[in-house]
Amino acid sequence: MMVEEFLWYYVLATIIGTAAVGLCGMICRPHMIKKLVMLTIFSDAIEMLAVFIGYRITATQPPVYPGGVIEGFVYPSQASLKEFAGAAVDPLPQILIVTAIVIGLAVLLFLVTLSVTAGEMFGTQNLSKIEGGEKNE
Amino acid sequence: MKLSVVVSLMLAVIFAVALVQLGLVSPDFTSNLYLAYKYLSEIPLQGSLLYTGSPEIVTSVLWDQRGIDTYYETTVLFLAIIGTLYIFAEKIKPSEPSKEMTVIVKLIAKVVAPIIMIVSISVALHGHLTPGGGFQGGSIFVVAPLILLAAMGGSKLIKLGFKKDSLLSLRLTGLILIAFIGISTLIIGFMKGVMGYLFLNQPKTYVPLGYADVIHAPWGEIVIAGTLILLNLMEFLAVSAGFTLALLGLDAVVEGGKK
Repeated sequence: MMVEEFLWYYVLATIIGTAAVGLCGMICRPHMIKKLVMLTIFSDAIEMLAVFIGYRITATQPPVYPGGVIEGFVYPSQASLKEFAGAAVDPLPQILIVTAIVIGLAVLLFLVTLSVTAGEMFGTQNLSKIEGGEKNE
Repeated sequence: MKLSVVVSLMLAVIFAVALVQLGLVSPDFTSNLYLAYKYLSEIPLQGSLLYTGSPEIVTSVLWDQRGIDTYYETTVLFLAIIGTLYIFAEKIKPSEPSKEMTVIVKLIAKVVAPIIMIVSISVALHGHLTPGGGFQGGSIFVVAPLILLAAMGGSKLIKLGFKKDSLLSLRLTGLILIAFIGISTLIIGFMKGVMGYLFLNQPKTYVPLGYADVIHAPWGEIVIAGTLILLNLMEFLAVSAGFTLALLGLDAVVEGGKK
Protein backbone atom coordinates (compact mmCIF):
# COMPACT_ATOMS: atom_id res chain seq x y z
CA MET A 1 0.00 0.00 0.00
CA MET A 2 2.91 2.34 0.73
CA VAL A 3 4.27 1.98 -2.82
CA GLU A 4 0.81 2.60 -4.29
CA GLU A 5 0.35 5.72 -2.18
CA PHE A 6 3.80 7.05 -3.14
CA LEU A 7 3.05 6.43 -6.83
CA TRP A 8 -0.33 8.16 -6.44
CA TYR A 9 1.26 11.33 -5.03
CA TYR A 10 4.04 11.14 -7.63
CA VAL A 11 1.54 11.07 -10.54
CA LEU A 12 -0.50 13.92 -8.98
CA ALA A 13 2.66 16.04 -8.61
CA THR A 14 3.71 15.28 -12.21
CA ILE A 15 0.33 16.30 -13.65
CA ILE A 16 0.15 19.54 -11.66
CA GLY A 17 3.79 20.32 -12.49
CA THR A 18 3.02 19.91 -16.20
CA ALA A 19 0.05 22.25 -15.83
CA ALA A 20 2.34 24.79 -14.11
CA VAL A 21 4.86 24.58 -16.97
CA GLY A 22 2.05 25.19 -19.47
CA LEU A 23 0.68 28.16 -17.51
CA CYS A 24 4.14 29.70 -17.13
CA GLY A 25 4.91 29.31 -20.83
CA MET A 26 1.56 30.81 -21.79
CA ILE A 27 2.35 33.90 -19.68
CA CYS A 28 6.01 34.57 -20.41
CA ARG A 29 6.70 33.38 -23.99
CA PRO A 30 6.24 36.29 -26.39
CA HIS A 31 5.76 34.22 -29.57
CA MET A 32 2.15 33.36 -30.46
CA ILE A 33 2.80 29.80 -31.69
CA LYS A 34 4.70 28.98 -28.49
CA LYS A 35 1.76 30.37 -26.52
CA LEU A 36 -0.58 28.02 -28.43
CA VAL A 37 1.69 25.00 -27.81
CA MET A 38 1.75 25.83 -24.12
CA LEU A 39 -2.05 26.27 -24.13
CA THR A 40 -2.50 22.72 -25.44
CA ILE A 41 -0.06 21.36 -22.85
CA PHE A 42 -1.96 23.21 -20.09
CA SER A 43 -5.41 22.03 -21.20
CA ASP A 44 -4.25 18.43 -21.68
CA ALA A 45 -2.74 18.42 -18.18
CA ILE A 46 -6.01 19.71 -16.71
CA GLU A 47 -8.00 17.04 -18.58
CA MET A 48 -5.54 14.40 -17.35
CA LEU A 49 -6.11 15.70 -13.81
CA ALA A 50 -9.87 15.33 -14.26
CA VAL A 51 -9.48 11.69 -15.31
CA PHE A 52 -7.07 11.12 -12.43
CA ILE A 53 -9.64 12.41 -9.90
CA GLY A 54 -12.00 9.67 -11.13
CA TYR A 55 -9.43 6.94 -10.46
CA ARG A 56 -10.25 4.38 -7.73
CA ILE A 57 -7.70 2.02 -6.24
CA THR A 58 -10.18 -0.88 -6.09
CA ALA A 59 -11.65 -0.28 -9.55
CA THR A 60 -11.07 -2.99 -12.13
CA GLN A 61 -13.46 -2.02 -14.97
CA PRO A 62 -14.24 0.83 -17.36
CA PRO A 63 -17.75 2.32 -16.87
CA VAL A 64 -19.34 -0.03 -19.43
CA TYR A 65 -21.67 -2.77 -18.16
CA PRO A 66 -19.96 -5.96 -19.38
CA GLY A 67 -22.68 -8.63 -19.52
CA GLY A 68 -25.59 -9.46 -21.74
CA VAL A 69 -24.74 -7.66 -24.97
CA ILE A 70 -22.70 -10.05 -27.08
CA GLU A 71 -24.25 -13.41 -26.14
CA GLY A 72 -27.94 -12.65 -26.51
CA PHE A 73 -29.66 -9.65 -24.95
CA VAL A 74 -30.77 -9.95 -21.30
CA TYR A 75 -31.84 -7.05 -19.08
CA PRO A 76 -29.28 -6.76 -16.24
CA SER A 77 -30.41 -7.61 -12.72
CA GLN A 78 -30.11 -5.31 -9.70
CA ALA A 79 -27.56 -7.51 -7.90
CA SER A 80 -25.16 -7.68 -10.86
CA LEU A 81 -25.46 -3.91 -11.30
CA LYS A 82 -24.52 -3.31 -7.65
CA GLU A 83 -21.47 -5.49 -8.12
CA PHE A 84 -20.62 -3.58 -11.32
CA ALA A 85 -21.00 -0.18 -9.60
CA GLY A 86 -18.56 -1.25 -6.91
CA ALA A 87 -15.92 -2.33 -9.42
CA ALA A 88 -16.06 0.44 -12.06
CA VAL A 89 -14.18 3.74 -12.15
CA ASP A 90 -15.99 7.08 -11.68
CA PRO A 91 -17.56 7.97 -15.07
CA LEU A 92 -18.34 11.65 -14.33
CA PRO A 93 -14.86 13.18 -15.02
CA GLN A 94 -14.72 11.27 -18.31
CA ILE A 95 -18.14 12.65 -19.30
CA LEU A 96 -16.96 16.18 -18.54
CA ILE A 97 -13.79 16.00 -20.63
CA VAL A 98 -15.16 14.21 -23.73
CA THR A 99 -16.66 17.43 -25.04
CA ALA A 100 -13.87 19.59 -23.59
CA ILE A 101 -11.26 17.86 -25.78
CA VAL A 102 -13.18 18.40 -29.04
CA ILE A 103 -14.09 22.00 -28.18
CA GLY A 104 -10.45 22.61 -27.21
CA LEU A 105 -9.41 21.44 -30.69
CA ALA A 106 -11.94 23.78 -32.36
CA VAL A 107 -10.87 26.76 -30.26
CA LEU A 108 -7.21 25.93 -31.03
CA LEU A 109 -8.03 26.03 -34.77
CA PHE A 110 -9.69 29.42 -34.31
CA LEU A 111 -6.68 30.79 -32.39
CA VAL A 112 -4.31 29.46 -35.08
CA THR A 113 -6.32 31.33 -37.74
CA LEU A 114 -6.12 34.51 -35.64
CA SER A 115 -2.35 34.18 -35.23
CA VAL A 116 -1.86 33.49 -38.96
CA THR A 117 -3.89 36.62 -39.74
CA ALA A 118 -1.79 38.61 -37.26
CA GLY A 119 1.35 37.28 -38.94
CA GLU A 120 0.06 38.48 -42.32
CA MET A 121 -0.85 41.91 -40.93
CA PHE A 122 2.29 42.67 -38.89
CA GLY A 123 4.89 40.50 -40.61
CA THR A 124 5.73 38.75 -37.35
CA GLN A 125 4.02 36.58 -34.76
CA ASN A 126 6.30 37.70 -31.96
CA LEU A 127 4.27 39.93 -29.65
CA SER A 128 7.32 41.82 -28.34
CA LYS A 129 8.35 42.81 -31.90
CA ILE A 130 4.95 44.17 -32.92
CA GLU A 131 4.96 47.94 -32.81
CA GLY A 132 2.84 49.29 -29.97
CA GLY A 133 2.60 45.81 -28.51
CA GLU A 134 3.28 44.85 -24.96
CA LYS A 135 7.02 44.70 -24.13
CA ASN A 136 8.09 41.40 -22.61
CA GLU A 137 11.43 41.12 -20.81
CA MET B 1 10.24 36.03 -16.65
CA LYS B 2 11.57 34.77 -13.30
CA LEU B 3 8.58 36.33 -11.53
CA SER B 4 6.08 34.50 -13.71
CA VAL B 5 7.91 31.18 -13.21
CA VAL B 6 7.74 31.65 -9.43
CA VAL B 7 4.10 32.76 -9.55
CA SER B 8 2.94 29.79 -11.67
CA LEU B 9 4.87 27.29 -9.52
CA MET B 10 3.34 28.81 -6.37
CA LEU B 11 -0.14 28.64 -7.95
CA ALA B 12 0.44 24.96 -8.78
CA VAL B 13 1.55 24.13 -5.23
CA ILE B 14 -1.43 26.01 -3.72
CA PHE B 15 -3.79 24.25 -6.16
CA ALA B 16 -2.39 20.79 -5.30
CA VAL B 17 -2.50 21.40 -1.53
CA ALA B 18 -6.07 22.74 -1.81
CA LEU B 19 -7.17 19.71 -3.86
CA VAL B 20 -5.80 17.26 -1.29
CA GLN B 21 -6.88 19.30 1.79
CA LEU B 22 -10.47 19.80 0.57
CA GLY B 23 -10.77 16.05 -0.01
CA LEU B 24 -11.46 16.38 -3.74
CA VAL B 25 -8.63 13.98 -4.55
CA SER B 26 -7.39 11.42 -2.08
CA PRO B 27 -5.52 8.10 -2.29
CA ASP B 28 -7.96 6.64 0.26
CA PHE B 29 -10.94 6.49 -2.11
CA THR B 30 -11.89 2.87 -2.41
CA SER B 31 -15.48 3.16 -3.65
CA ASN B 32 -17.39 5.56 -5.87
CA LEU B 33 -19.13 8.71 -4.66
CA TYR B 34 -22.92 8.82 -4.39
CA LEU B 35 -23.74 10.38 -7.79
CA ALA B 36 -21.35 8.13 -9.70
CA TYR B 37 -22.70 5.10 -7.80
CA LYS B 38 -26.29 6.09 -8.66
CA TYR B 39 -25.47 6.52 -12.37
CA LEU B 40 -23.49 3.26 -12.54
CA SER B 41 -26.13 1.15 -10.79
CA GLU B 42 -29.32 2.68 -12.24
CA ILE B 43 -28.68 3.54 -15.90
CA PRO B 44 -28.70 -0.06 -17.24
CA LEU B 45 -31.50 -1.09 -14.78
CA GLN B 46 -34.83 -1.57 -16.55
CA GLY B 47 -37.68 0.31 -14.87
CA SER B 48 -35.43 2.83 -13.16
CA LEU B 49 -35.99 6.58 -13.67
CA LEU B 50 -32.53 6.96 -15.24
CA TYR B 51 -32.87 3.96 -17.61
CA THR B 52 -31.52 4.63 -21.11
CA GLY B 53 -31.26 1.12 -22.56
CA SER B 54 -27.50 1.39 -23.01
CA PRO B 55 -24.75 -0.39 -21.04
CA GLU B 56 -22.39 2.55 -21.74
CA ILE B 57 -22.62 5.02 -18.84
CA VAL B 58 -20.56 7.81 -20.43
CA THR B 59 -22.62 8.10 -23.63
CA SER B 60 -25.88 7.73 -21.67
CA VAL B 61 -25.14 10.65 -19.35
CA LEU B 62 -23.71 12.68 -22.23
CA TRP B 63 -26.81 12.47 -24.46
CA ASP B 64 -29.64 11.66 -22.06
CA GLN B 65 -29.15 13.03 -18.56
CA ARG B 66 -27.29 16.15 -19.74
CA GLY B 67 -28.40 16.28 -23.39
CA ILE B 68 -29.14 20.02 -23.51
CA ASP B 69 -25.67 20.82 -22.16
CA THR B 70 -24.04 18.68 -24.86
CA TYR B 71 -26.21 20.36 -27.50
CA TYR B 72 -24.94 23.79 -26.48
CA GLU B 73 -21.37 22.51 -26.43
CA THR B 74 -21.91 21.44 -30.04
CA THR B 75 -23.06 25.01 -30.68
CA VAL B 76 -19.78 26.34 -29.22
CA LEU B 77 -17.93 24.05 -31.65
CA PHE B 78 -20.09 25.43 -34.48
CA LEU B 79 -19.28 29.03 -33.48
CA ALA B 80 -15.53 28.36 -33.35
CA ILE B 81 -15.59 26.91 -36.87
CA ILE B 82 -17.79 29.76 -38.13
CA GLY B 83 -15.15 32.16 -36.75
CA THR B 84 -12.43 30.27 -38.65
CA LEU B 85 -14.46 30.35 -41.86
CA TYR B 86 -15.18 34.07 -41.53
CA ILE B 87 -11.45 34.71 -41.92
CA PHE B 88 -10.58 31.98 -44.41
CA ALA B 89 -13.64 31.08 -46.52
CA GLU B 90 -12.82 33.30 -49.50
CA LYS B 91 -9.39 31.74 -49.88
CA ILE B 92 -10.63 28.16 -50.54
CA LYS B 93 -10.21 27.89 -54.33
CA PRO B 94 -10.62 24.49 -56.01
CA SER B 95 -8.99 25.48 -59.30
CA GLU B 96 -5.41 26.20 -58.20
CA PRO B 97 -3.14 23.12 -58.35
CA SER B 98 -1.25 22.58 -55.11
CA LYS B 99 2.03 20.87 -54.24
CA GLU B 100 2.02 17.07 -54.02
CA MET B 101 4.27 14.63 -52.21
CA THR B 102 6.02 11.59 -53.79
CA VAL B 103 4.26 8.48 -55.15
CA ILE B 104 5.04 6.42 -52.02
CA VAL B 105 3.34 8.88 -49.69
CA LYS B 106 0.33 9.28 -52.00
CA LEU B 107 -0.19 5.51 -52.33
CA ILE B 108 0.09 4.90 -48.57
CA ALA B 109 -2.34 7.78 -47.92
CA LYS B 110 -4.84 6.29 -50.37
CA VAL B 111 -4.63 2.93 -48.56
CA VAL B 112 -4.73 4.27 -44.99
CA ALA B 113 -7.39 6.99 -45.29
CA PRO B 114 -10.40 4.71 -46.10
CA ILE B 115 -9.46 2.42 -43.19
CA ILE B 116 -9.45 5.39 -40.81
CA MET B 117 -12.84 6.51 -42.12
CA ILE B 118 -14.36 3.03 -41.60
CA VAL B 119 -12.94 2.78 -38.07
CA SER B 120 -14.38 6.20 -37.21
CA ILE B 121 -17.84 5.27 -38.52
CA SER B 122 -17.70 2.05 -36.47
CA VAL B 123 -16.72 3.99 -33.33
CA ALA B 124 -19.64 6.39 -33.85
CA LEU B 125 -22.19 3.63 -34.65
CA HIS B 126 -21.28 1.51 -31.60
CA GLY B 127 -21.07 4.51 -29.30
CA HIS B 128 -23.96 3.26 -27.16
CA LEU B 129 -22.43 -0.21 -26.68
CA THR B 130 -18.67 0.28 -26.42
CA PRO B 131 -16.49 3.24 -25.39
CA GLY B 132 -16.79 5.87 -28.11
CA GLY B 133 -19.49 7.99 -29.69
CA GLY B 134 -20.09 10.91 -31.99
CA PHE B 135 -17.38 13.22 -30.65
CA GLN B 136 -14.70 10.51 -30.63
CA GLY B 137 -15.67 9.11 -34.04
CA GLY B 138 -15.72 12.59 -35.58
CA SER B 139 -12.28 13.39 -34.21
CA ILE B 140 -10.89 10.12 -35.62
CA PHE B 141 -12.49 10.82 -39.02
CA VAL B 142 -10.69 14.16 -39.36
CA VAL B 143 -7.31 12.37 -39.46
CA ALA B 144 -8.17 10.90 -42.90
CA PRO B 145 -8.70 14.26 -44.71
CA LEU B 146 -5.62 15.57 -42.88
CA ILE B 147 -3.44 12.76 -44.30
CA LEU B 148 -4.91 13.26 -47.79
CA LEU B 149 -4.37 17.02 -47.46
CA ALA B 150 -0.69 16.56 -46.61
CA ALA B 151 -0.13 13.98 -49.35
CA MET B 152 -2.14 15.37 -52.26
CA GLY B 153 -2.96 18.99 -51.52
CA GLY B 154 -6.21 20.85 -51.05
CA SER B 155 -7.43 20.93 -54.69
CA LYS B 156 -7.28 17.11 -55.04
CA LEU B 157 -9.19 16.77 -51.78
CA ILE B 158 -11.91 19.11 -53.07
CA LYS B 159 -12.10 16.99 -56.27
CA LEU B 160 -12.62 13.88 -54.11
CA GLY B 161 -15.90 15.36 -52.85
CA PHE B 162 -14.94 17.38 -49.77
CA LYS B 163 -16.52 20.56 -51.17
CA LYS B 164 -17.01 23.67 -49.06
CA ASP B 165 -20.75 24.05 -49.56
CA SER B 166 -21.59 20.36 -49.11
CA LEU B 167 -19.51 20.16 -45.92
CA LEU B 168 -21.20 23.28 -44.54
CA SER B 169 -24.68 21.93 -45.32
CA LEU B 170 -23.77 18.51 -43.82
CA ARG B 171 -22.68 20.27 -40.66
CA LEU B 172 -25.89 22.31 -40.48
CA THR B 173 -27.96 19.17 -41.10
CA GLY B 174 -26.30 17.44 -38.17
CA LEU B 175 -26.95 20.33 -35.79
CA ILE B 176 -30.59 20.85 -36.92
CA LEU B 177 -31.37 17.13 -36.66
CA ILE B 178 -29.95 17.01 -33.11
CA ALA B 179 -32.30 19.87 -32.19
CA PHE B 180 -35.22 18.16 -33.96
CA ILE B 181 -34.64 14.82 -32.15
CA GLY B 182 -34.41 16.79 -28.89
CA ILE B 183 -37.85 18.39 -29.33
CA SER B 184 -39.55 15.51 -31.23
CA THR B 185 -41.05 13.95 -28.06
CA LEU B 186 -42.33 17.41 -27.02
CA ILE B 187 -44.13 17.80 -30.37
CA ILE B 188 -45.68 14.31 -30.23
CA GLY B 189 -46.74 14.90 -26.61
CA PHE B 190 -48.31 18.23 -27.57
CA MET B 191 -50.29 16.55 -30.36
CA LYS B 192 -51.44 13.69 -28.13
CA GLY B 193 -52.18 15.94 -25.16
CA VAL B 194 -49.65 14.42 -22.74
CA MET B 195 -46.53 15.84 -21.10
CA GLY B 196 -43.07 15.51 -22.68
CA TYR B 197 -39.49 16.42 -21.80
CA LEU B 198 -36.70 17.95 -23.87
CA PHE B 199 -34.17 15.28 -24.99
CA LEU B 200 -36.45 12.52 -23.69
CA ASN B 201 -35.13 9.04 -24.44
CA GLN B 202 -37.12 6.33 -22.62
CA PRO B 203 -40.65 6.61 -21.15
CA LYS B 204 -40.66 8.10 -17.63
CA THR B 205 -43.13 7.93 -14.74
CA TYR B 206 -45.70 10.47 -15.92
CA VAL B 207 -44.62 10.46 -19.58
CA PRO B 208 -45.78 7.47 -21.65
CA LEU B 209 -43.81 8.67 -24.73
CA GLY B 210 -40.32 7.63 -25.70
CA TYR B 211 -38.06 5.83 -28.13
CA ALA B 212 -37.50 2.06 -28.30
CA ASP B 213 -34.53 0.64 -26.39
CA VAL B 214 -34.37 -2.75 -28.17
CA ILE B 215 -35.55 -3.70 -31.66
CA HIS B 216 -36.83 -7.28 -32.01
CA ALA B 217 -35.58 -8.32 -35.44
CA PRO B 218 -36.26 -11.80 -36.89
CA TRP B 219 -32.63 -12.81 -36.37
CA GLY B 220 -32.35 -11.53 -32.77
CA GLU B 221 -32.51 -8.42 -30.61
CA ILE B 222 -30.65 -5.25 -31.58
CA VAL B 223 -29.86 -2.77 -28.79
CA ILE B 224 -30.31 0.76 -30.19
CA ALA B 225 -30.81 2.61 -26.88
CA GLY B 226 -33.45 5.04 -28.19
CA THR B 227 -32.10 8.44 -29.16
CA LEU B 228 -28.47 7.65 -28.32
CA ILE B 229 -27.59 6.01 -31.66
CA LEU B 230 -29.33 8.77 -33.68
CA LEU B 231 -27.70 11.60 -31.71
CA ASN B 232 -24.28 9.91 -31.97
CA LEU B 233 -24.62 9.69 -35.76
CA MET B 234 -25.71 13.34 -36.08
CA GLU B 235 -22.88 14.50 -33.82
CA PHE B 236 -20.46 12.45 -35.93
CA LEU B 237 -21.68 14.26 -39.07
CA ALA B 238 -21.39 17.69 -37.43
CA VAL B 239 -17.91 17.20 -35.91
CA SER B 240 -16.29 15.50 -38.92
CA ALA B 241 -17.68 17.91 -41.53
CA GLY B 242 -16.85 20.97 -39.41
CA PHE B 243 -13.26 20.02 -38.73
CA THR B 244 -12.64 19.00 -42.37
CA LEU B 245 -13.93 22.41 -43.44
CA ALA B 246 -11.68 24.24 -40.98
CA LEU B 247 -8.66 22.18 -42.12
CA LEU B 248 -9.39 23.06 -45.78
CA GLY B 249 -9.45 26.75 -44.87
CA LEU B 250 -6.22 26.53 -42.91
CA ASP B 251 -4.52 24.68 -45.78
CA ALA B 252 -5.68 27.33 -48.30
CA VAL B 253 -4.08 30.08 -46.20
CA VAL B 254 -0.80 28.21 -45.71
CA GLU B 255 -0.59 27.48 -49.47
CA GLY B 256 -1.45 31.11 -50.27
CA GLY B 257 1.26 32.35 -47.91
CA LYS B 258 3.96 30.28 -49.62
CA LYS B 259 3.45 31.99 -53.03
